[in-house]
Amino acid sequence: MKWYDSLPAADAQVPCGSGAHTVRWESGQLTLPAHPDAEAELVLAALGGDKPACVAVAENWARHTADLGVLATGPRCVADRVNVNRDEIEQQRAGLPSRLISGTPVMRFGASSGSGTPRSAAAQGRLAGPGGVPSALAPGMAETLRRQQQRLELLELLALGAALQFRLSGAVCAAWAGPDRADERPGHQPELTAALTGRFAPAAEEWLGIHPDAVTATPHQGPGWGALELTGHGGSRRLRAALPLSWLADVWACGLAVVAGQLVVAVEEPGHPRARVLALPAPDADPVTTEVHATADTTAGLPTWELAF
Amino acid sequence: MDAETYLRNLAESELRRYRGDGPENMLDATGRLRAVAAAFAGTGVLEPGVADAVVDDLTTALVIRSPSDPRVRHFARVRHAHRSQPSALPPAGQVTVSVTPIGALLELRGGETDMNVYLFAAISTPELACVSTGVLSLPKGSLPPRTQQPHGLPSPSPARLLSGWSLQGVPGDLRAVDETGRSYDLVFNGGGDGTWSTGQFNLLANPRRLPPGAPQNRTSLDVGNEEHSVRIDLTAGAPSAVVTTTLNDLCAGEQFLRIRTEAVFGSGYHDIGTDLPALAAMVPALRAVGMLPADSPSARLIAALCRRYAVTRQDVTDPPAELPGRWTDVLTGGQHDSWREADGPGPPPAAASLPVTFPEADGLTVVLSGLLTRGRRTTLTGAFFGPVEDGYPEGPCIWLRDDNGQWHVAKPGNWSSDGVNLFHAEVVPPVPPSVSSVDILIISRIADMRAASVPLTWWTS
Repeated sequence: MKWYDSLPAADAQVPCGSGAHTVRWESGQLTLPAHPDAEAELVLAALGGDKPACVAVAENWARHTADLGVLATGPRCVADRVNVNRDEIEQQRAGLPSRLISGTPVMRFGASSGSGTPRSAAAQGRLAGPGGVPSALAPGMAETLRRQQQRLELLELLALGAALQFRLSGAVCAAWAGPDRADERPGHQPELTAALTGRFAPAAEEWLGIHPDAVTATPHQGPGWGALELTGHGGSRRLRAALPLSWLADVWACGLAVVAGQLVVAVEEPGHPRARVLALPAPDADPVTTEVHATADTTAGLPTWELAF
Repeated sequence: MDAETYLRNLAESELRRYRGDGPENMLDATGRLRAVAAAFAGTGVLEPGVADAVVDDLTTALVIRSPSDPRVRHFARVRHAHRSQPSALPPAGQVTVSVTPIGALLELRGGETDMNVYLFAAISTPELACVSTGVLSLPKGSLPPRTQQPHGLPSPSPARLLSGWSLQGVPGDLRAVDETGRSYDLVFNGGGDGTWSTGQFNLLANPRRLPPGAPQNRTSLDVGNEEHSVRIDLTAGAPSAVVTTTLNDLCAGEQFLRIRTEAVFGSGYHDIGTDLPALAAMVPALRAVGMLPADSPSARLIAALCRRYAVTRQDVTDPPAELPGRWTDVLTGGQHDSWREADGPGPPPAAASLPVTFPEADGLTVVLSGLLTRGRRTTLTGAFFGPVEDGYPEGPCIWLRDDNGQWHVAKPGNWSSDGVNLFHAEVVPPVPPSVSSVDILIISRIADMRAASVPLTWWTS
């Protein structure tokens, strides 16, 4: 069972060649229906041919499935609309040194929403490959260009629309929640804590009507779903939560944070259109195993869930 | 809480708070975060690069939530461009600086406009020699005839190194010739409005056979052009002002908050109230990371300013303190709006040398060179030698108290930074030529420096 089992497939359109092609996310994988042999097209590109835009998007996706920048910029809740204009990305890209752009490293095609590497070769400052831009620039400028390039790549992915924004965010969260990153997590605690708080706070507001600034969340370590503590009254209420990072992928990224007025704290059995979750009807209540069902409606590319009877 | 977590959670809060398009909202949303980022970086609890990255992330996040406003995107580009241009900081460390008062007026009447060139002081270091100056340029016949017989310099030989370039309202043909006959081109570095310009003339040896720093050894200079010149005695020093330095012995967070609060008075011409939300945001931030005591004097002063400006101060629950006299002086009599509105015929332009060198503090040596009062505006010229910290880019705060007890604050609005930061600062409220001496207070992060009763000898045309 995977976190993304609770999500239906989602499509986005990408300008490619003289038209627009569909890019499809399904079962944690980004696929290119219009490019059935993308591996071969990559080989051609490596030999000097044009790389289809769809293929570039898939490569880009693969590079960012563990990029915490996705969580810093991407959506926090379905009401949080992120709009990226592709023309503007191109304008900004035109301002970068050409060798930096052309030097984007070729990666083996294998976009997935599973655990990626935390930083690709690009993120390690080897953008241009041997003899490329970094060696020709002062270290500070190379670092700045690397950041700009990363930001443009990220914006390209966010330009795929809300449905894929949430799915990419889920992939990043899953990557960082996994056991293979246990050693790296302590070094990224501030980013992970903010990512958790930034997404849990709107859910808590929807659940309790509490002001999101009065909500803090920290990553929960160890067994169990975590803990909640609500203190104070009225405007001085404070909610402190300790939730595992997997909550972000399993629950939040699948649109399950609040279902029928209950806070979902864990997913026991992911699935779409039916899943089994652990939900809190109230802050001081014990979590209850609950069956939920996705309706035909979607918001921001995420399913809308209701209690299943 | 660790500083990065605090900053990132603050970014989340600002992102939630952000409503709608517009660079003003963008500035508001990023202003508090930038202030706290600067405070954390400035007090050493967070790497500056990490602090910058958090601000960058928020900027990007806000831009992609403002789809229809090109101004917001422009703001973000400026922000990213700022990051991509690391500031060219001059080297840190002790700098040997000498400041020699000049107090001369060069009256030029032979050009297309009448010009008065006020020469305040000569500043020299091993890397730089310049004369701080103010230039008045008015239509032909507007200024009184020259009081002295014309005494022009011989024709330049060789030609100027940077010929054909000049700034409107500033003579582009000035040279200096020292007592040995060596010639220097004077290259203006400063700004103005075409009528009044302030800045400094850098001395550029022509031909360039002199090593940098050689001008320190001169004893006199004839400064002017072929029409007229004045002789400057570089050996005639002024009585050196006695400077006392008091280390403030505050913790790092208190030091930072204090200098930032003082800088509110010395920066820009905007309403002080607009700076207060960012200032107030630093108080709980520094406390959260253990860098500010519960009984912080600066926090109480910020609380008092917030109360005065009716700024919501939920971030600052400290009891308001009584504002220092220098602040109330400027707040009640020095607001730029009030004295600019009172525009009208004033006394004739007058200049005074103010050659004071302050000891190094925060790695920065401050030198003042002159005052120029025209109408209801006063400009102070001087220089910062050393790296001006990113945490308070305005540099140390400079206050003057005249012999009537009135405080004035300097607002450095412009400076160059080719190795040093030569500034010209608007003094608010202006200093009238009737003032015969000033006390000078310079507030840096670690120390207060005072020069008492520095005499002002004004001269005019």
